[in-house]
Amino acid sequence: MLDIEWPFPTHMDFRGQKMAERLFQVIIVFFGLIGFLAGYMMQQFSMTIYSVLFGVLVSAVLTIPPWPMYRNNPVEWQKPSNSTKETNKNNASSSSSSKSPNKDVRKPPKGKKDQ
Amino acid sequence: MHSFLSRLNTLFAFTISVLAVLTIGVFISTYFEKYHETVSIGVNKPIVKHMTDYSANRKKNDLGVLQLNLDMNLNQLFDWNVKVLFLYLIAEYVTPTNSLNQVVLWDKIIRRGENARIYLHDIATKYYFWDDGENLRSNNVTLSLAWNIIPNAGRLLHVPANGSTSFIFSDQYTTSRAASPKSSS
Repeated sequence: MLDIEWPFPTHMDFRGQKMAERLFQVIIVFFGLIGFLAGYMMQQFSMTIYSVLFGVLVSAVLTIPPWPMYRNNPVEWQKPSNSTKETNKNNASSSSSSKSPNKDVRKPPKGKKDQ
Repeated sequence: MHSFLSRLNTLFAFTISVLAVLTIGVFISTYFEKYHETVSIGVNKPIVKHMTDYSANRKKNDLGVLQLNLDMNLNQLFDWNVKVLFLYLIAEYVTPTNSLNQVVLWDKIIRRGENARIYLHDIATKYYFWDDGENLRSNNVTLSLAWNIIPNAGRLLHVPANGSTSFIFSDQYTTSRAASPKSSS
C-alpha cells in the first residue's frame, strides 16, 4: 500500500468506518436500481451506467474524505504503563493484560472490525 | 477503510461489483428476445458471365452479376442489449458437387443510434458472386438475409430474417463488357 503523507488527518475511527461503508453501499445500490429501471424504460443501458457513476460520485464525496461525523468515537487508548520497557511496548499488551485485565478498555466495544 | 486510499479501493471494488450485477441483469432481461423481423429482398437483372477469376485459381469461372433491392426497418431490433447489428445477405444454391453453396453478396454494420431503416434500390452487390466452377447458368439461387446481434452482455446471436427471394440465372453467358459495371481487373 502506498504511504502518502497527507497534510491533514485522514483517519476514521472504527464506528466511522462501518458507517461510511454502509453508507456508500446503500447509495450505490440505490442509484444502481434507479438506473436499471430507467435504462429498461428508455432501452438505453448507458443510462444505467451513468446513474451508477453518479451514485459513486455522491458516495465518494460523502465517504472518502474523513468528515467529522466519522470521527465521533475515537479509540480510547490505555495509559502508557511505565513499568514495561520501551523496546517491546507493542508486544506488551498481551503481558500487561494478563497482569491487569480489568483495565483493558480497548477490546470490548470495538469487536473485530479493525482494518 | 481507515485511510484515504483504502476507502477509495473499497468504493471502487464495490462499484465494479454493482456494475457486474447490473450487466448480468441486462443479459437476463433480454435472454428470451427473438429479434425476428421481416425484410423484403428483390433482384434486378441477374446475368451470368464467364470470366477469369484472378483472385482465386485463375481459371475461367462463372460470375453472377445482379442488382439488389432491399427494404427493411430494423429499428425495433435495438433494445438496450444490442450494441451493433451486422447484416449480411447470402446467396444459396446447389451444384452437382456441393449440396449447399453460400456466397455473401452484401453486408452492413449498423451501430446503435444509427438509422436502421434501410431502403436500397438497384444497388450492385458489395462482393463478387463467384462460383467455384461453371454451375451458375440456369441455376436457382435463393437470397436470404441474416444478422448477428452483438450485445452489450450475453451471447452473440445469429438470426435469419423472415423473407427471402429466389431467382433463376439465364442459361446464356453475357459477354459484353458494357453490361458489367464491376468487371474484375
